[in-house]
Amino acid sequence: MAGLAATFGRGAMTNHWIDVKNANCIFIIGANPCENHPGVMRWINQAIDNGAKVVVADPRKTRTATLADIHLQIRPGTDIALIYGMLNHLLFDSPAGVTGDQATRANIEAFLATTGTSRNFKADDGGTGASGTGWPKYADALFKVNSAGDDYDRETKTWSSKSVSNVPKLAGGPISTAARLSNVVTITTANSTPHGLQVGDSVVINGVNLTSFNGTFTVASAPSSTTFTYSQTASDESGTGGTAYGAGSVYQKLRSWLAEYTPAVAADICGVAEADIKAAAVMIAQNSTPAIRSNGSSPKAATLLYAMGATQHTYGSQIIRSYAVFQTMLGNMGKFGGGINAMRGIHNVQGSTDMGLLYGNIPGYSGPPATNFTGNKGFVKYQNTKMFGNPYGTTITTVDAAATDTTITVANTSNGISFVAADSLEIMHTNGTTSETVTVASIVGSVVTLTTGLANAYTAGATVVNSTYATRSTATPFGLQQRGFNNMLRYWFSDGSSPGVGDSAASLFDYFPKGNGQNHVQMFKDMISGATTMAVVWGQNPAVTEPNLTEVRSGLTTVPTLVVVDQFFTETAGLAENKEGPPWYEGRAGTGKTTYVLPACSFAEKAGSQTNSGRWIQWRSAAIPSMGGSRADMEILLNLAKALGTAGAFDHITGGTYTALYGNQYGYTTWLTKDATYMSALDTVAESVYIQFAQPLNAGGTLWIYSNAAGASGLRAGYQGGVNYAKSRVTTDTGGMGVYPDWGHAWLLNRRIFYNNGETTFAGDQSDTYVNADIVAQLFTGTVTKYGQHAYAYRYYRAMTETDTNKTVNEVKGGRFPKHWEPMESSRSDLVANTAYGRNENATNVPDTYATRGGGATAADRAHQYVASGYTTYPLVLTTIRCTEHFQGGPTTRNVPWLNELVPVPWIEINAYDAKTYRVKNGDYVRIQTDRGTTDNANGNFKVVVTTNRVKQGVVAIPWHWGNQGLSKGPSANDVTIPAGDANTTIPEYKACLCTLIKQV
Amino acid sequence: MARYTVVQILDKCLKCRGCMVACQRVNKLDSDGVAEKVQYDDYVVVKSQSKRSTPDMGPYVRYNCWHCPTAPCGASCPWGALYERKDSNGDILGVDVDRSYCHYGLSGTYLNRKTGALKTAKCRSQCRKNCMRGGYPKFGANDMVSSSTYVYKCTLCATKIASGDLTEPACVTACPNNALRYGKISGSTVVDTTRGTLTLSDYTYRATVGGFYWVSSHAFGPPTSDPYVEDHLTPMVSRFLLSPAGVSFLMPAAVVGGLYGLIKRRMTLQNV
Repeated sequence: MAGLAATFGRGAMTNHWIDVKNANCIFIIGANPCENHPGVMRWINQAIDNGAKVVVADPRKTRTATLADIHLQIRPGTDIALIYGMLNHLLFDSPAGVTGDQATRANIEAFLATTGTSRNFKADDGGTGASGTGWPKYADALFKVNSAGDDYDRETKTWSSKSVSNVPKLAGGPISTAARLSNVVTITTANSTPHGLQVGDSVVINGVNLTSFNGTFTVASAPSSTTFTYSQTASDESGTGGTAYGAGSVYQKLRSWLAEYTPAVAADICGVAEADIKAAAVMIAQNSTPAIRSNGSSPKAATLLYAMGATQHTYGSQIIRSYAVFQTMLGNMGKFGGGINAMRGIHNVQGSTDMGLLYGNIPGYSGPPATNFTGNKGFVKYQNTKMFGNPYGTTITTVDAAATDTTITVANTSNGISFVAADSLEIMHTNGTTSETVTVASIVGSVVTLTTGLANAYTAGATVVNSTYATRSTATPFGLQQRGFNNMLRYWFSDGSSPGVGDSAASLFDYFPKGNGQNHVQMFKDMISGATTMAVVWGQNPAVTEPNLTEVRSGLTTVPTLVVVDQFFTETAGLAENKEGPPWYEGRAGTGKTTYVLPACSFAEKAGSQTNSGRWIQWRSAAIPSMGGSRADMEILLNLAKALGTAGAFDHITGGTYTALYGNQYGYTTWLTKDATYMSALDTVAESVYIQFAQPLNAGGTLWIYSNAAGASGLRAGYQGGVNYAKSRVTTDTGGMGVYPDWGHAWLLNRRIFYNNGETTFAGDQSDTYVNADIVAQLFTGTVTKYGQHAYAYRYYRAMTETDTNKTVNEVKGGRFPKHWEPMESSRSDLVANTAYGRNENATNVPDTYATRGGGATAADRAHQYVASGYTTYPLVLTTIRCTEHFQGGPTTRNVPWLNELVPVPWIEINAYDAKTYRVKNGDYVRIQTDRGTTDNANGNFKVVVTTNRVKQGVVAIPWHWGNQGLSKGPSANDVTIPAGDANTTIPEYKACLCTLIKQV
Repeated sequence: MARYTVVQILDKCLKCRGCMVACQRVNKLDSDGVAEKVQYDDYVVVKSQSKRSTPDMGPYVRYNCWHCPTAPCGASCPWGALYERKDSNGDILGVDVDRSYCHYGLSGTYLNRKTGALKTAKCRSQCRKNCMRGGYPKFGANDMVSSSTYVYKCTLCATKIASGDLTEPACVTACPNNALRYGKISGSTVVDTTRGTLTLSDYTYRATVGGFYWVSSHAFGPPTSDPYVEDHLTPMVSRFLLSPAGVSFLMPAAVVGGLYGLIKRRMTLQNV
């Protein structure tokens, strides 16, 4: 999601599952919907019935691949090279067969250069306030690189560098007299990067305009000299083109970036036939229409479906960005049957991330306040300055402001937050000691008039170091995200009165926890080291799902107090017991450590909102009262809070918060008991919580993306379900495109298809005018000039600005243009050694063991050293897979007898050639060994399935659903998978590491 | 009098096996926990018709009772435990089983009370003879020692539909891909009130004998092996056992072989 969020502004499926039926071509990459997302196959089937083509890229010939017109059996982790190879074919080769309004190069360029005019956008939440025109659409991106040239530097492998060295340098040199007189100049590139120039490009050399580039330049008038110098900066960085393909445009930079990924190079990296890559590119291009959709037209569109195969790499975010580049250039964004669609595996995964499930998020995809927030002077994480409205870095440009001056000039630049009347600002003199707090009377442009004269004199460069906003929750300068946070503070730490009005007291903010949690690899290390003394594992089974399980189990057995809340007795809960077997089986019993296992009920026994893969929020009522002693998660949580409150954990929060929050707010004063009213009480309580965060922000809602999903009236006529739109069940499909606008609610503001730019009003869909070139153009550059007010902070948080000095936190690490990396453990040592590729230097959680493999200054160096020698030890690429019958860590399926009957043991798929090498045959059992150790064999081993084409030679595919609890037991691939994670999200590289087999007899 | 039918669109089935689990759940069937093999009490089986070198690559074929129009199994049942269940309109819902009438004992045999002879279940052998695509109903090999042995076969949820507990077979409801359709056959169309009418003649390949259809847009060689035998033996043996040649050849061969063995044994004994 980080890849999409940084690219488009929102990390979510752009379309929805039903919309897949509208696709003309379905490009499935890094996903296996046949086996892992059967729910979407209904719509894929329907599209195929209507003649849609299917292209599948997967290292494994999955059941999905059997449906495909073209299956690209790529090497694990080579998605970016594949995407670039396809784009390269379209942009450089102009393949025959792509014609008309299809995605030809000319059409792509024309599309990218399209300039929008006079479209309405909606300025505020509610979806009603059209108050601006002329906002650009995503195809309008200026596609310029800023003059500072912040770009990813491939050669130095730094991405915060100010130098742009990946751009081709044209070689200066002598021009032969003959060439000069014939007006033809041959230009080569000085560095290894292809120049990426194209026919029609205009390049000025020594004042002479070189036109009609076609391998050589034909010079309009003969150069005056036989030598020339070419200043790239002069023309390339000026960015005066104004068209997508002008010299110096980002499009051109992308094109030069792509130049080296010819289909032949991509084929070598991916391990597939060059012809297949070309054919796939042509097939997708033939079904894409890079043009602005107009009323009545029905352009072709190709959708891109992906899942965990794409994200679970050390450069997963960048893979997603390459998808975004691909789909945007082909004009597939914002269209029926198009978009980039991340298939989420569970009915409420999207909802859980919306609610801030991840360690670096608070609800609504905000970053939590930094730990050093105190004093407002030392932020290191700039999302916090955006989130909480402190104009950090705002400089006073008034020179020699006198002590009685009532106006100051403020350079309010990068963070875009402007002041309004009644705000108070703390001004710090450049000497670092003189400061005072003033109040804003009015503001005109950058001139701020104060209510009283300054007490001190200031010189230029004084900064605003602190501020309080008088009307943070309602004033338009503030993002909806900030307003929601403001309301949230009121609910959580105060009596919840007057929500949506005025500013929360700073004291409420002080209650809010600061700082990030630990990522899911580091947290187990912290348990081992003793830094973490209590772990609450809620609805997860880390003893199966995390990589390098030996360490995870070790952490969970070491931590003094462990609480497990789950529907089943999971492997994690099982650590409470001692068992015969490997050391970690010795568990927690008899060690004086405490383990609590709390039984939660199933999905059918609790009420609440569910946000599905396509962002549809739907209400689910409990079907039956919870069985046995199990309780709904909400009940457990509220009871836990009650117990903590009784024990005094909330005593520091004054103002009756506990009573307000748990006694009144959620609609019940007596705790739920399983009597006749239990079911309806459960629903009421859940709905109270839901309405609190989903009502309009101005009415006190706390979650900006869900704003208006409840509690509003007049947003859309025809809703069912009263104030709770998630309960609406109108089955009318207005427009016949599968939108069902009145079925539930989709964030944002019931948009079923994101980024449609509002060119037309779809029948049934809300036009999505909340995106503009500044957002979507982040694919290429960010200019950060204007934003729609909705989600201001959210966008800013994800914006790729060139001017912000603190971009390390929020940009997609790896830079604007993705490039191919090798997995942390790669079998292609030649590509690892290639300086153009190598590994993602920003990968997180690189195993410590690499340090012992030959040293090296950086983790990447150590990894490199390691694999250079490790390839012979571990020659097979391990890629993890899942099956239809089992789910994640397995508690909900390995306890179902029928499913165990279908798939009772974990297996390993191996190519027949490798099977011969390892002397294994069908039905044999093997253990897997990697640098992390050997898979646990206490519950059996992996059953060998020999295939001729399911996996390629050198690749083995292993599921990981098993553990030592439940009806079927077995080893998990995660016993030995690599914990190294994505640079941005820390998601581990489950999809590629090196291993070997040990045959069991 | 119309007939209800289930249609499996082979092109759309992806072997998620949701139908199998839904069936076992609704019919409260036990899991036997035997690794990955078809069980005698699987009413519905989805198996990939694949070569060993490319497991699981499809097409994925659903096996279950075909609900023959004049069901030979029902005709052969001495107790009338197998019969066509009709709904209130007189439309045929499927060949249903009333287990309380099924008096088979050990190993699919029953005691003829008149003669005192142990007789083999006729429904199963009759089905194999007539249908050749799975041999339903089945008797459980694992239940040989149990006194509760009786026929196991798909009923198209006829009892539950007739009583109003279900509106369509549980497997059809469970299918996420719309690969299964259920409705009345009317000429060449199957009127599925939930998923829309299906025109069978649109499909290149169609196979049925009654209440169950395979259809496909592609040419398709219908499997003749019994998935149960195939899983427990080999496809080749399965096909052979079920073929007319197998039936006509195997029995004499077994008799001759048995006689040969007997004679050989007697000769050996005499020699001692």
